[in-house]
Amino acid sequence: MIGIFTGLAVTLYSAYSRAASRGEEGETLNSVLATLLQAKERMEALENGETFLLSFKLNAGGRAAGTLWVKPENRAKSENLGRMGFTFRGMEMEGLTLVLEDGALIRLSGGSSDLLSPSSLVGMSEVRENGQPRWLRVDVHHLVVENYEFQLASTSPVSLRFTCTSDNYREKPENGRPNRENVVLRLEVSAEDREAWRKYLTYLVSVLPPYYRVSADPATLTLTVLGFEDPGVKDILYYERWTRVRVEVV
Amino acid sequence: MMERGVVTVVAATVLVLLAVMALALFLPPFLESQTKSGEMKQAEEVREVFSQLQTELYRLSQGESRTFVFPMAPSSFFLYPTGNAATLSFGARWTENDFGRVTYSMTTRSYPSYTLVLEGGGVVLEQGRRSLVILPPFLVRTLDLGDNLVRVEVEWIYLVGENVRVSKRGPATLTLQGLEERYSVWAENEPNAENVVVDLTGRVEYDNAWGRYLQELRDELNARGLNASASGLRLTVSGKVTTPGIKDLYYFERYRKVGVWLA
Repeated sequence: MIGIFTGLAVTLYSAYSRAASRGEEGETLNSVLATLLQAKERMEALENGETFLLSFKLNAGGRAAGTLWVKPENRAKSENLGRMGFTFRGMEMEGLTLVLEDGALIRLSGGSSDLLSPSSLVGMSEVRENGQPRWLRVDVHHLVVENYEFQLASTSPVSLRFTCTSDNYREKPENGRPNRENVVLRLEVSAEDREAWRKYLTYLVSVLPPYYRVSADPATLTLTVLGFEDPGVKDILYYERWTRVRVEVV
Repeated sequence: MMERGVVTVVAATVLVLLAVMALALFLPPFLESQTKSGEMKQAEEVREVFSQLQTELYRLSQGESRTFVFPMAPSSFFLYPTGNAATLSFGARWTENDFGRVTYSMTTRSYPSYTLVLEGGGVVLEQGRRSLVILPPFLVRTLDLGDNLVRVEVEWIYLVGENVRVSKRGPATLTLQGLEERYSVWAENEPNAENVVVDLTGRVEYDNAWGRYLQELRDELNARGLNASASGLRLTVSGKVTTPGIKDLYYFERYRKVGVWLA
């Protein structure tokens, strides 16, 4: 009898423990996802000298749910603009990673990457005169993660401080006149995130009007904007903004 | 000694049987109540997300983005899943005027299944065969300028993106990106319209809900003395002066295009 009861109790406890840990991991996933989305939106709005704090829940129940990491821009290799993310460790979500790179939120799982929230890297709008489109405005806004590399795991929430160390335009029109005939943008991103960025470029081309003459080459991650006019005529107002952000543990 | 052993075994068996009977009696209603509360919680959360979505849709400037997280299934109780996974989709018919829509469909076990839809800046609830605009859009705004003159502003919201359908138990994300906003019609120094026609034909999918909404809007505008009439999916606002040939409306038409990404 004692054997039967013990066996039953062990089975029930193990099932309960598995369900509880799945619930806790789910809670942590929701929380990390929401916090990274907040980080993305607030980084996009950051200007010179501004700062904000975010608290990350890194635990699932009483144990660390994974690793929060920051890999800064690699200027020597020029391979990417810096990334930060969270890699889960646990029964249900082993290996799942959420990455924030150049304003995009990406999910890495089982060797593939998926775009959870597209970046605001490229924006386009018409400059109209008397109701008719005259010029095309193209805004490119890069978000660079700088500072030292770190990773941490914790059984309690951790606060990160995001500080904008510089925010400036590398290129912009002068006297409100178009400065480009066309724009060719080649994305420098981490190799494991390339599939997600391909999806971003495809999405971008699909939502923009065809008369902007925007095309993407997914193989080289290149976006080309030809604008309204044929070669030889500058009809694009091109703005290239770079915002550099330092991420630190408080 | 032998008798004591038999009594213990019988007593333990009876106890186990009693426990199993109690479990069989109380577990189903308990799981049912867990299912109900899970469904209710999820429905409230989803409605709240749609409310935020609608608010942000009108706040979003060109180049800005906002992301929302949708719960796709009620939380499980122990190892018992208390509901199915919802379906979140974005769809647009490839017609020039279609508004495009985000649809969240949930097949529930205890409460009636429901679908929430964001289209044309409003939120429509469909339950059974009935549909209703539960969060109306800011489609027509009017301002009395005095001297029988009225400013009428109509705002069209278009959702664009790739047609996508997501169904899973984990959270789904929806990102809105402000792509374009401008006035397609505006009045300068004098009235530019005798009447304004708002025509939703071919732009929306839930015709009945939008038809009823336009009737409510008509009544509201008439209460302000703006002589409105509604027929099907067309609303006409004539303003305070209905004499043909007299322009008494400053008419502004605003156009907003928002990109949608689901994952």
